Amino acid sequence: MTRSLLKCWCGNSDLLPFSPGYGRCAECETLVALQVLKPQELRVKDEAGDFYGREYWFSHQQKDLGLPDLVARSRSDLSERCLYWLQTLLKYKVPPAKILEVGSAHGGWVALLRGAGFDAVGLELSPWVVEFAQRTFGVPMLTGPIEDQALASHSLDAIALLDVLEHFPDPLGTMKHCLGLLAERGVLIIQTPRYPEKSAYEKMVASQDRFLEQLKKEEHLYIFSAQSIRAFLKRLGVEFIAWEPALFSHYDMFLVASRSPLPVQPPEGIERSLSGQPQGRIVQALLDLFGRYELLHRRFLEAETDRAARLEVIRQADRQLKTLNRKIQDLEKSPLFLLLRKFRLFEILTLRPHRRARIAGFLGADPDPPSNPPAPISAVRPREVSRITIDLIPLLPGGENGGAKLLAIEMVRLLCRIRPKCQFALLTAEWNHEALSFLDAPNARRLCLASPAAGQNPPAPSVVTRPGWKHWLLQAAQFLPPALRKRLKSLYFFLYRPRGPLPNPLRAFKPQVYFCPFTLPFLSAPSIPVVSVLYDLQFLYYPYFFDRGEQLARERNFRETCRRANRIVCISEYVRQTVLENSNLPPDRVKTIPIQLAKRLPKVSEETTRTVLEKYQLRENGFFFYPANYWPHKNHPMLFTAFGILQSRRPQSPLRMVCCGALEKERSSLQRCVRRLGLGSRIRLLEFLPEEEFASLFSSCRALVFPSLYEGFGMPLVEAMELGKPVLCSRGTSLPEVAGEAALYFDPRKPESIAEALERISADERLADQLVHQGIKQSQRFRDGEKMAREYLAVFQEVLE
Amino acid sequence: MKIGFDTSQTGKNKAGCGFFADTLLCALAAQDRQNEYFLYPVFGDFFWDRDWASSTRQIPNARFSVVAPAKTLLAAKEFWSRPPADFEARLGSPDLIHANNFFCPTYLRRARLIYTLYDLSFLVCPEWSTEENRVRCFQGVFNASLHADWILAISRFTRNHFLDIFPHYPPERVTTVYPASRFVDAPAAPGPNPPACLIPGRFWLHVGSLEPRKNQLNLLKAYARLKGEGEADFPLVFAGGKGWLLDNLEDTAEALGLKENVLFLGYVEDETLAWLYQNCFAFVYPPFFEGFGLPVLEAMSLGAAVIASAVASLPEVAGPAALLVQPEDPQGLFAAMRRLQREEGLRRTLQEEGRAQARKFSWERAAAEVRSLYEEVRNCPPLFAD
Repeated sequence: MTRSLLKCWCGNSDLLPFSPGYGRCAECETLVALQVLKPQELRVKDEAGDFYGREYWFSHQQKDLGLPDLVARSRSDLSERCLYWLQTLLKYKVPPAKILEVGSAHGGWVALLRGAGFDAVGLELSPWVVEFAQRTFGVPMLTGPIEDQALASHSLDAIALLDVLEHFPDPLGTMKHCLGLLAERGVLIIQTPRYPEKSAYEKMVASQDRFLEQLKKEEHLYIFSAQSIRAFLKRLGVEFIAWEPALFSHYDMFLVASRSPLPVQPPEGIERSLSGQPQGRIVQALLDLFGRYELLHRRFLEAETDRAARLEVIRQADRQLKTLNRKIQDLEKSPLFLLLRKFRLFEILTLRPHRRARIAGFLGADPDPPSNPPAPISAVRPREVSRITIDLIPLLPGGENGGAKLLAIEMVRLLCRIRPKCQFALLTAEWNHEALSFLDAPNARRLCLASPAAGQNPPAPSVVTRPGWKHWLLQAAQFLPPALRKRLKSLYFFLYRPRGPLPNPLRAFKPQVYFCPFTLPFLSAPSIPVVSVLYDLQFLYYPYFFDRGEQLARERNFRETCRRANRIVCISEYVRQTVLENSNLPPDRVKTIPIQLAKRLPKVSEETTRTVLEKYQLRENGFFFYPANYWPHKNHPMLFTAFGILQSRRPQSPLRMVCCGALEKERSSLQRCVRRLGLGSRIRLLEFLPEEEFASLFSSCRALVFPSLYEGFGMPLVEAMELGKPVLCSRGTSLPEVAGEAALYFDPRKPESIAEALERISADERLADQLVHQGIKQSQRFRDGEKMAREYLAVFQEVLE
Repeated sequence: MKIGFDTSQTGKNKAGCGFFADTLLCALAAQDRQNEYFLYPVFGDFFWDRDWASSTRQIPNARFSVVAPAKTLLAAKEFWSRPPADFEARLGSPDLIHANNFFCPTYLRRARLIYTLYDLSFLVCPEWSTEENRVRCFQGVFNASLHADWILAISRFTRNHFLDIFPHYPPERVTTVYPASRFVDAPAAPGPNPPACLIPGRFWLHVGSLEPRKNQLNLLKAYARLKGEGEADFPLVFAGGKGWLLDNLEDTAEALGLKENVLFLGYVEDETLAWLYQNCFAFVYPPFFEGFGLPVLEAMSLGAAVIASAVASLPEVAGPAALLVQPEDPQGLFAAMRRLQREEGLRRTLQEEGRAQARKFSWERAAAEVRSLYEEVRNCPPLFAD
């Protein structure tokens, strides 16, 4: 059945030993099987007994090689390898063309080629397999070795030898024959195992190289290397080779070769040939999918590598943590430590946590190390929180506080109402004590700070009007090198002191929680847990909207709040994310409780509304409404510009714009702008309105326009949705979270985007209705004030424990 | 007449705005024999050059004096945003002020204001610059539409764009004055050090800071395509410093497999730049947007064949003398580059036409137009009476 062959295809008969079944030709670097079939033994007459008969494809594959049988392969090959081969072939040869696949096995690829428009024929040694292919895929097949076939010379445009070359007993002879059948410009497409040149068998065994699977000594007779196949093809006159990435790159090589230069088909050429006929289009779709699959696979591998790397980092950190913990335990057992503890030297030496943190901050270490919450005053753990002090010191008359004031007042009301058993002490100051008398309740009373530190003005964010010592310090600081400037800033934050200790009446109250709806705890109460509400971090994202002194003050307040508050409550998830990004706080110390004040506005009668509209000479539904203090981040100039563009496009439109808000100086300056823009008759800038007038105008507007550049929540959005008004707002910061699908978004940085949105809403009734409808659904999320208050109470409860 | 001129951006490492102010000033100084100029090396509350005292443009002539009422950053912010009562006196009591860095003073009582407008790219695609820059530029242009007595646009495209956004502004007060190339078409000395590996006539050139708006990414893709087709005969050279918001263009080039074919020179001096323009195979400039596009003109003035974008002001500047492509489409750019490589005749034609096109622009003419503009503006009534 077999005889030993001692000659390589290149003619060299001096073979070096390689492995038990193979010798190595050192001249061309090919592996040669030591026992090989005779050429005539290739032919199959007895399907059961001959080597390449039926059983080669079934029991030999499964039992001997551990591979799936022919039937299984007739399914899996198509998507696994046939598409890839087709993709490669198309780069060099497009249909219509004649192609022969030598060793086509189940015929699946032949079928795919025919689908793509090639005139493809398969060839197999076993009549059974030929019949299988014809039956399964309906493809034309040839039976027997290629030398036996009656094919016209130079008639084929391509010949495919995919995992067959290594099976030929006489590769040179067979290939010569094939080339005789190949046209002048025809191509060979070859996939065959690749022997890594000069590699030693023992080394490969030791490293469990996958190439060893290819040493099938009964069937893989010649295993070429890249070097030898080049020489082999050159010997045959095939000079032009294009190497392609092998599908099974551990042990295969894949190439396209030709006697003439190989031009690469441009993708358009390939598309054109495939889309010429219906089946081709289907094949094209398969190729597209294959491409996508490959991309995803690559990405998946990248992601897995990244994931593995991260896991490694986590493991490392874990190990370090364990080491450090052990060190701490050892330290705590050391005699010195025990000595210090015995004589209570620690109590004297160590500072309270927040002072320690402040010193650390000054020294440049982590500015907000998570400190332990201070222990509650009373030794007995209360079941429910029952004494809360609420810091309303920064509350100003008028609208300067913005949304914070509304929330603070509502929170007081709600908390008092839903917990009648709980006592509330409201901290007020000279400038708001009287105005807040309406907040008094059976369980709530105001406590005025008798004399705020040195008779200071309301702590409103305001411009430094007269150069004080801070101003000169800032001037001097700009000449210092940046590192020193940073130290100076830390020193300033370190030296900052809150407004002094709790006054006596408040001490007598024995508060359990210090609630600060205006963020910064104004009084120093180190033993009482603090809950702060944070509205936004605008000073970080738009620092240039504040002067330097104001920027520093806001940053100082933020850092101080991070240090002293046990819990920071953010009014939107967006704000929470920005807080976590800009501090070292652990995520469980920062919560999100959205504002639920949809029903805040009083209902106004039609009578009142009519009067108000008359007062301001406005028509019902005849104006857009933008309630916002005239701060720079509210983006009024951009809105006016947009309105100017709108006006020039639709001079006949009667629609107006009404703005209202606090900050008188800014308002009059913007008023001048409106006048100069020629929009004096169309845009009205009103001051901060009393509640009733505000509600009247809001309920009779056409739509809410909200082009703010930066928001922490955006209460007017919810108010508009509750009133059944369409909402047009910026796409950015917290606004998409609040409005969801119920708004027409625009880019607040582009006046044309705003103008287009305004135009759309005025022209398209259906759009307006749709937005209103969705708005009503969306506003349901923000209606339940009591739920919000309960969530706050839950936070208060949490800090007590 | 006393003219206040903003020279704040004329220091070293100028960008487009700085070149305009700088070259205009020099051209004015060469022509103007009568007027007195106050040069403001610090202008506005945003732009700040630490070395303003030594690096901004100064003219060695008695009629050109440097006036800097605020000398430190904080003082400047204070002076220009919350000006003292004698603001104009401190600026030399000029008859008119010419603003060049996007800032627009809004407190002028006596002096007229001319505002140079380069482009409104920050309204087209805010992502092309930082948010702070966008806010400031918009603030400046918005104020200009309300306070500037005259707007000097550097292209008709910019002019029309401005009037589209601010339709209230009187169109007769927006004038177009074209800048010109600052190079003279004479054989450049090889300069201090043109990169030794560049062979004259055998490299593609791109000039401009590395930033998203300039679209170097698509240029790299087009060039990669050229290489894929086997037609990348010459290397691609980038001359220009790192702009903003575009990290690691080198990494992208490497990822596309172009490491050996692409050369990043960084910021180059004028001499080297002139040599590069004169000796490149062709100049490729495909930005997404421009207010004028000075590099196109510079290239043409030194005899380079030009491929440019067909958007914004570039068709106006390049005229018929360049191959125009859509900047979003690397395929079109690739096709143009390949065409230029294959058709030597086309390249020669573009070089000739480019020279002729560049001759239509001149700084002498620009300076003369600006001088007569100064006269007109000084005598015109203020934009708003209130």
